[in-house]
Amino acid sequence: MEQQKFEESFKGAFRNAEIEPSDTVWTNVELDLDQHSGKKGLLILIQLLAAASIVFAMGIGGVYYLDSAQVQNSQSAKLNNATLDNLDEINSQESIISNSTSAALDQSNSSVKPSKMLKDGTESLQIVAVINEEMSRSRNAKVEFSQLQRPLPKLSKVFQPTLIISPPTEPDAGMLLLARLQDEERKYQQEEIIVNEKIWTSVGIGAGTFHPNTNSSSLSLQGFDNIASSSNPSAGTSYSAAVSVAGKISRRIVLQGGVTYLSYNAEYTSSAALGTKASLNEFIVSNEQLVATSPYKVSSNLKYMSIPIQAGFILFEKNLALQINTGISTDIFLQNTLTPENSDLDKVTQSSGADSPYRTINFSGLVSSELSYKVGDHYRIAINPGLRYALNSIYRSEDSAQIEPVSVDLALRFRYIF
Amino acid sequence: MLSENELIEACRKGNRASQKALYDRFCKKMMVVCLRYSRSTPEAEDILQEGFVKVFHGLEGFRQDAKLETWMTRIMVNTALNHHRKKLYLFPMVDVEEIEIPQPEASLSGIHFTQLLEMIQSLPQGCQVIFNMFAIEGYGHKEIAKMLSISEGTSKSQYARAKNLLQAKIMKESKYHQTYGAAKV
Repeated sequence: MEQQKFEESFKGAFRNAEIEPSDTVWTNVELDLDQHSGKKGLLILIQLLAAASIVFAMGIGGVYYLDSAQVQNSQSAKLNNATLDNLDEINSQESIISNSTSAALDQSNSSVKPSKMLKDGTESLQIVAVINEEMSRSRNAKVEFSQLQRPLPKLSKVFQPTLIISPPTEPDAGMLLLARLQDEERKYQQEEIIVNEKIWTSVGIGAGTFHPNTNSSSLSLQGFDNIASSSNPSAGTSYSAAVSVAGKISRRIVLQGGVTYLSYNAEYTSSAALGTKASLNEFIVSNEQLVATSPYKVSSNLKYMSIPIQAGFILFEKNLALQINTGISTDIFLQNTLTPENSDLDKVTQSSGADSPYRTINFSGLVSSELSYKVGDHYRIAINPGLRYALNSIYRSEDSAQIEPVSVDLALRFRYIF
Repeated sequence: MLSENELIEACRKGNRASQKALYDRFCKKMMVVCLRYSRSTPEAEDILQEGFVKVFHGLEGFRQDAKLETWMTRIMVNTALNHHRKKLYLFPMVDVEEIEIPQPEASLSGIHFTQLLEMIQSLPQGCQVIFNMFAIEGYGHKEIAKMLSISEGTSKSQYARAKNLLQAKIMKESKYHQTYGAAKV
């Protein structure tokens, strides 16, 4: 005997085993049986009646919507109210249809397996009513009810029939109303984002490269041209943190402003030192003891508070939106910290003021783009590549060197839409 | 309540209520059969649905010399095999060099059938089919080889593999059961 204890015990374990299948199995079996029992004609009739009842329900919804649209000012509120109010009505149709005729509907659609239709509850309702070509041309009455998915969420879980309504000989007023409803809905969907997104605020951080963009081959330290010099600062890094507020002044034009904290880092080589006192800070104010020394590296960290004003143009705005911005910013010099690599020298912090070699107020040109994605009703996340070009030298005009920094950075922004 | 024979007669006449009654009487048991041959509940329900349609259409030719449940089980198995056939062509079964290591016979006591079902469903496709056919349906390797168009050796080696895999799973489950004292269901 091939079977042994192991096999026997397995067989025994399943002998009286039972598991309840879902209700849809019997419904689908019944559908299959009906399909083979010559009830097709009746089913088509039921299918058409069901389709007609859906069209009627939608027509009523459309009339209600259009009426209320004329009375109220807010189009979005009207649409929502109309569709919500009609949902109950349509849902009652849904229960009738699902109980009595969904089986029949599915049955007659022989190209679609019933199990697929009824088992997949996630599939949405797509009722496509196609009026004949002639009517489409003359009345533009090709109506795709799938556009109405949003107002009819509950129906979507019942079934997914595709109905072809045979061409009527006369224009159907209900169809025309539905076509209008569809157009209104489409317009509403297109305008919804724009209507909602009028004012927003955003916070972001960015990082990029900083180019000192000097006009001389070597820089004399400010005020000490004849004593010691330093090389051009090399390209460095830039960091920014920004808070901004923006608002639309038209459908596509945005005006935005805010505050941005900027930090530029660069390195250069210096051969200047202050005698035995070894303090970079002192040579800034007096050159009496300044001496030339062997070259050493100095890290420069410039800090600015920038107030940008920009105009933006929205190229497209759906869930994904793209905006290009241009403007100017007023950059207020905060301080520059010079950190020498040579440990014998002290770190120097230069602040703004009359004695400072740096201009307190500077101006920069800004160009940027902003690619954002809507992540909720009130939120967008954006990446923001941008270019900042100094419109004047950051050094005072009497100084020999001219530095007009350029920075290119990429910022990540979170936008809150009011 | 109608007897089985009365139910069959009524179903043959196309009486929908009787068909429903027949379905209700056997669907739970047949669902288990279908689950054994599938990987998921939706797949099993597809087989069950198709199987029941075949049952109702085939009742005309059903000779009552066999038990209705046995006949229906055979239909479900054949339907399941049809479902598998395409997959088995895509992933043909081959002889596997699996040495059957003599293991202490794993005990199924304390293991719920749903756990066994999960174990069967987790077997490789070929192993799953052959294990069901051999161990539970009681087909011989010759019959299985003929039904699945494979060699008898392949059937045997696939079965050995299935058995090894299942025994390992059962031992693991038994240890868990001994440690924690109760089945996980």
